[in-house]
Amino acid sequence: MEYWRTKRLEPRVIRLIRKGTIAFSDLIKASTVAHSRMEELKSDGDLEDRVAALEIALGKFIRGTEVATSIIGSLVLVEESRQEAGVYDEAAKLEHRKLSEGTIDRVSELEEMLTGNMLLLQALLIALTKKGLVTLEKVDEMLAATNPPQYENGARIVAKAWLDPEFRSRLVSDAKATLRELGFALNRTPKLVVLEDTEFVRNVIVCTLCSCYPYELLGNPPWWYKHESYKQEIITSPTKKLEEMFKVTVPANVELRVYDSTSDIRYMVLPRRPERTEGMNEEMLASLVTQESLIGVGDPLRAEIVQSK
Amino acid sequence: MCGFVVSQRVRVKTENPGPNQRVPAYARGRLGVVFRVHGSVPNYSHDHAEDWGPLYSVRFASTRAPDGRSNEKVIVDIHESWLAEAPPLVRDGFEPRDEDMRTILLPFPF
Repeated sequence: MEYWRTKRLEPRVIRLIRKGTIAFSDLIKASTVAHSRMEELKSDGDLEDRVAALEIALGKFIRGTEVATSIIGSLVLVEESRQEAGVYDEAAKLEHRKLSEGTIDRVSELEEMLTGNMLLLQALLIALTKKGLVTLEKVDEMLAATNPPQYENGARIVAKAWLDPEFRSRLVSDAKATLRELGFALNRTPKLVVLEDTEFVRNVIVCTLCSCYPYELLGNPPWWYKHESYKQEIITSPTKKLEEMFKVTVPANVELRVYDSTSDIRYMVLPRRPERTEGMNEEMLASLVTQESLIGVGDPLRAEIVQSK
Repeated sequence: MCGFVVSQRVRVKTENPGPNQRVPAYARGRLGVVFRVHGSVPNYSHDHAEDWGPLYSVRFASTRAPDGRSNEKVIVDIHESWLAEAPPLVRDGFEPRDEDMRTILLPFPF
């Protein structure tokens, strides 16, 4: 976070002010607007929730800073970014702020710092639009382009496959070509294989060597996917691991296939369609598909979950 | 050219035959069955700039199931240079299940 503030955001703000593109007063005016629109980071919840919220907010801050950086790059000449950040000039260098030792203090401080950084970023973007240097639509468009893919992509694909047998068979035989038709370019995925669960087969995905995952389609994997305990135990005793960690029971007549991805092939599981989902549309079905069910360690949600909504 | 066919028994080499490191330690030296044949998969943006040859999904009994009768299987993607031919086993009373005709379930000798 401090890297993005001291090397990317603040040096550029200072540069804009030096060049006279915007004034400090523009930023202060914009900051009152920005402040009213800010989503506060809640500092009263469970520590794990707070850390998760911090991660999401940091992602937003980084993507926003990238967008702001490229807008500024088109407005003023940036000769040498390291020089303007003061790397070579002690007098102009922006210091990193120090954090406390304790976890709770640290989290509170990070929340405060991140809120401040977001405020500056928002104020900067608002000031730039107020000056007419960039349009709001352009900013939104650029922000949307930086959004990472999510597992919901996979949920949509699974729901479509449940409804359309012809799509399903093409998806299982050549996933990449079939998904290209749906607009997923997958240019950085060497090969994608969709593993079809049946009455007698359950597929599970792992990458024991690192953390190979269909990132380009499903975004980032859940935290435990990269954890050594999952990687090792899902290979040595998969039935037990599924039972203990995910409360999933695999009957003895079901073959449990654990796919260890070694980079070239990325896997996604096509779970079995839950019972009593006849007549559901694609959107309802997609809402039953969880991130865990696309890795094979969980089942899709039960039909009643959607019906009770 | 792909040298192995689906259902063929193969042994994973223990020694690294080239620059390719991507074979998990638990699979090295073990007997498995070719489960899928992929051919060459270009992987320039991730792991290797050059062609590592044909790739296979090889199926093993899970490492905790030494008798091979378990329903737990591990499937690993391995390049041809890491694989050696293994002699076929005589199978008694073997009946593949309908959904699984493409693979052969074989007992493992260790």
